[in-house]
Amino acid sequence: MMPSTGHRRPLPLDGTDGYATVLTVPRTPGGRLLGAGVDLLDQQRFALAARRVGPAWPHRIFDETERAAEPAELARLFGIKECVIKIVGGLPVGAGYRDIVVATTGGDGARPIRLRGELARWARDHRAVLAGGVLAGGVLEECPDTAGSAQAPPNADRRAPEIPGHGALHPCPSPGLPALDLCWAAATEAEVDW
Amino acid sequence: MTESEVQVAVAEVWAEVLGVEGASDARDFFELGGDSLKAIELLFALEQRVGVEVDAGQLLEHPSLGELQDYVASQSR
Repeated sequence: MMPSTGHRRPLPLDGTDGYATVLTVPRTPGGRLLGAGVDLLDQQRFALAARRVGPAWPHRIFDETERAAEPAELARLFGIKECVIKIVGGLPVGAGYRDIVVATTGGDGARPIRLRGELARWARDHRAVLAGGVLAGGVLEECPDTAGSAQAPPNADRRAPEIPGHGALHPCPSPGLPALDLCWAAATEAEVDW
Repeated sequence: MTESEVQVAVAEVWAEVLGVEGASDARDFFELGGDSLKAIELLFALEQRVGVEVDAGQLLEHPSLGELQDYVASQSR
């Protein structure tokens, strides 16, 4: 029997057995897949980092349209941006997170992604169309440091973390355990010329 | 700030964000346990402490403490 400590509960990714998923990427007809990236985002860590940085933080990371999103959604947008960075092979000098603009509409489906500046040049060179989203959220069953103990470690933050200027995130499903979002992005080749 | 003050400030921010003491100048930010969230904390802390705006691409270009100190010092002149 597999020990539960530190093992991840299977995430219900495909709505059937909870163990497998098929990621359907929105593609232009005939457009081949150029690259894909995934990022596992810890909502609480994101909120704590934002709290440490202070109220100026969203202006350097998020576009004006993105900044209107609720706190948990902001974290997911950041995760999707990280996925894009993996696709393009790292941010070029002079580029920043704000050069990746993720549509805040689309719910759990695919959201269009727009690139600016140096990253837009990459998209033009590759005739790339980008989209991203959030596949699933889940929690760890037990943290190794809390195994066999009913209590979370003394330094565990049991409050719902706050993002400056945006209010509190939803509390973690279990005190001291991470709320995780599996974010993705994919680039496909456009059929039409740029 | 003098160049040496900038270098000290960058080293302090680096140590605070990564939680390391006396890190080698040559070791990579990501090798030392840095990730995207710590990178953002580092960039904002540098802006507040030194007054130099460093973008994420620059951190990838100058990923060691020594390289970052030189870059930030060159931008603060």
